[in-house]
Amino acid sequence: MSIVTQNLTKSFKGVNALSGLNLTVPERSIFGFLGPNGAGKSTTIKLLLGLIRPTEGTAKVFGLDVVQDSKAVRRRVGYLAQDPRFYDHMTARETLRFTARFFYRGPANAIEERVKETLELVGLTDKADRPVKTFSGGERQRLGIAQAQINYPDLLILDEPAASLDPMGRKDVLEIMERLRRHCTIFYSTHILEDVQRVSDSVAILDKGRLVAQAPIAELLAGSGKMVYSVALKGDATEALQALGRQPWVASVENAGQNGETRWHVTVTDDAAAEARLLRTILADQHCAVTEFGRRRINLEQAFMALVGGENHGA
Amino acid sequence: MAPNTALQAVPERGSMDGFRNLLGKELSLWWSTRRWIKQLLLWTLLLNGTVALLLVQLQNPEPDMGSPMQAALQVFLAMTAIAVSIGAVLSAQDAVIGERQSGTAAWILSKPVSRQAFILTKFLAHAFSVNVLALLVPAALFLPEARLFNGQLPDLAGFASGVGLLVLSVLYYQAMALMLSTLFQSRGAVGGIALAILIGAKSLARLAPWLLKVTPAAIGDIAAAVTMGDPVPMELVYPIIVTALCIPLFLAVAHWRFSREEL
Repeated sequence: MSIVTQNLTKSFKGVNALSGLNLTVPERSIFGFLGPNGAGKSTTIKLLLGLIRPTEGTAKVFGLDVVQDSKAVRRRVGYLAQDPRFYDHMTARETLRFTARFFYRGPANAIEERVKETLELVGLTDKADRPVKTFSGGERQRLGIAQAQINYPDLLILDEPAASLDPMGRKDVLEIMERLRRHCTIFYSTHILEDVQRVSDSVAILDKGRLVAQAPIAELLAGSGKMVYSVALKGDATEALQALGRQPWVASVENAGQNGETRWHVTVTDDAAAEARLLRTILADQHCAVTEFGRRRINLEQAFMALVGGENHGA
Repeated sequence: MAPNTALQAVPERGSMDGFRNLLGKELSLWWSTRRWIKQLLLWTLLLNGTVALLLVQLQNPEPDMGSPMQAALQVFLAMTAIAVSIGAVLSAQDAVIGERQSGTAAWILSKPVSRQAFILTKFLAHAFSVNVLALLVPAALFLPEARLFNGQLPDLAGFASGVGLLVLSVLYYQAMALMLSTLFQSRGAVGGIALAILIGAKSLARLAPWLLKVTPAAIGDIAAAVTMGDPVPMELVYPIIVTALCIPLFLAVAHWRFSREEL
């Protein structure tokens, strides 16, 4: 595992910013860390980097304790802050050279080569010798990604990498992340659900400092723990409904049809049993016909809202 | 992207991880920008310019005045002791607060860098740069200046000792400002406290003479006495010792506090 946290808790002046977080991030995954503003995402990231200390609990990155072995952790990690800031007097090339020197002592030409590669990766080659203070938000974000991966990190931690970007900038950042996924684990926080759905393998949802869900994205989209099948029918399906009610693996049947259409959302507790017997059970009723059948597809926003609730988070 | 195998990893240095790179960056803030020219011009004009004006005026001294060389030395050392120490406080007060507020401290400390190296390199770079630009260069220029106007040089050993004592005083105020910048969040508090001690200690010493023993307030006077070959009473050695001891003490407090800083 890239990251494992156990009961990770952080309080500021008695107020819990993070409460008992138990998180596991698989290696070589793109892991979306999702939550509304103030949910504790940045706090978790700062704890992993040793920038702040946990009040309780532990966190390990590649088996290294983030408090005891903080520098060893930081040798293997690249970090992009939410609003990356660099030294104004340096150019992009100088910033990357400076960053590289924390990891490599030489030779100088190999360091220059690495700087060049990272500039190319983020598309800043033509702006390499411009002072950072002249950079736009998007350019600073790209430079932030470049410096974060200059040491070939095993884990890239990105705090809201696309939050301040326009749609083109967001697209670019997501493409860079997809390019980097072959080489490292990417753990990134965001409140942009569309981005998570587009690039993530797994996702954790944090709300008010608490973990409310963690799952591979496909599983989360399928529902929160229980599988839901969607069935559209024609005709009188009363017998089919009664038959479903007798099955121990059927948790509930909700009629979600509109405008006279019969559409059931069948929630099941045993997916294997449902796969084998759900359709057959319905078709046993000769008075109705099935026009559509499949696992219910929901988007991440629906899953997120179901888990976090509809409170106004200001996100 | 396969890792470049030619790259050699930086060896681990424990509490000094990142020291060399950070020191280079801190020094580059002074020496790779126009800052050093501006500072050099400022201090040279202020210190050497004042001495030049004084020496021109003293070409025909009043009979009851001391020698022009003594007057020039006293003015140079007294001005340097106060003005350069103020400059040292003003430049060091922002060293940690500025980086903490801008977010660059969090960025740097997300790399394999020790917090001790972060603090120490700031002190060393400021100490070297301020002392060279605001003290040692003007002091070196004082010598040809004195010769030009006065036809003679001061006692070089005494002058070097006096300047050395001023360096100690400047280091004290730099270390203090750095320590305060780890303890407080506002530049006003850091600058205010340090400048109050710098300017207020000598005035308050009239009411509490012991202050002269525990602050560098008397070091300017001691430096003048040493430079002019006057005898220095044994009790005036105490502020020198206390000042020298306070520098590592302030740095230790700065490191202790900054190692607990949540960024």
